[in-house]
Amino acid sequence: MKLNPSFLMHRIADSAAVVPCDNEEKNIVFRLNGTAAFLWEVLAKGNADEHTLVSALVQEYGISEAQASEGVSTFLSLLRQYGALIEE
Amino acid sequence: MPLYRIAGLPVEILPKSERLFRFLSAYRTEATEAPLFSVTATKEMLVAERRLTGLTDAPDDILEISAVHREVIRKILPYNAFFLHAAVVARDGAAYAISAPSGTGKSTHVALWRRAFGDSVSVVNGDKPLVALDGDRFLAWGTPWCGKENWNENRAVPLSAIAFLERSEENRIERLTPDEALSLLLPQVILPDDRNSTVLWLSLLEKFLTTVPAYRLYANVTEDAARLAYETMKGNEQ
Repeated sequence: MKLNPSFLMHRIADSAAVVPCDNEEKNIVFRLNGTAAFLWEVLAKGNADEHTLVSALVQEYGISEAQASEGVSTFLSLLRQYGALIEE
Repeated sequence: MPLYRIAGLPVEILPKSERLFRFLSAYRTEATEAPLFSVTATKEMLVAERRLTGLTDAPDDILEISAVHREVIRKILPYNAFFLHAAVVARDGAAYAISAPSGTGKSTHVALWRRAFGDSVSVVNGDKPLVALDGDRFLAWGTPWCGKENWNENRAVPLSAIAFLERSEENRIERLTPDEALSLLLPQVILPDDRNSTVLWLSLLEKFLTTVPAYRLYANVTEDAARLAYETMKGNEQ
């Protein structure tokens, strides 16, 4: 899976704004918290699957795999809901 | 050549309707500088405006005012100015933005500032200011586009703070982190329509949120609400 390239992410303080470009849907700008912004950046590097994201989260935040797994799953469903994820 | 000064910048606007011509009149300048850009509402833009605003029955001259506004916002962004949905009040040379979704009571709250502080308060823009980066600070500009009360002044005032207004029984105000402010700010701005502009716009928003102190203001409709807002936000140097 990879990020929809029409979405722009910009870090602002400890979170991030995500804005769809090249898109008529102008009202779906959304905010990512720090953890979600971190996951976005991992995805943006490419070649990440769900497992990669969970590992990255465990390593970065020192949380359990179960917690990380739940966080990643919430994050990915949010991205799918906004059309920010392209499944391969 | 009809030259106007919008957010301090020389802009050529070519009104088609008498209504737009009159609407812009206080911002017209006799200066002879070259405009930074030119704005005119084409037939296609009016059609798009009707769709975007949902004003299906609006006459063309009303749509022209709105379409020209949209185009000004688009073309002024490279000059580090962006649109904010807020009322901007000024006192003692400092401006305060009161932002909230339509219908929350921005105008009612602004009227409370006037009741509390009398003529020492002025309204720079009642609803649709341009906010411009000026060195390390942000200025709030009056523009012809300013909401139904027509509160606007053709000037800029340094912005000391922004408060996101919510109606409440009790008056209360709390400082927001830039992250918290971001969530409240996003619904009150207009997103650019292409990638390069969006990159620029996001940088500007980041600078704004990390420069201008932001507050959440829970306010009732007494003058105390205005006093609390002002006393808390004043003295904030950017």
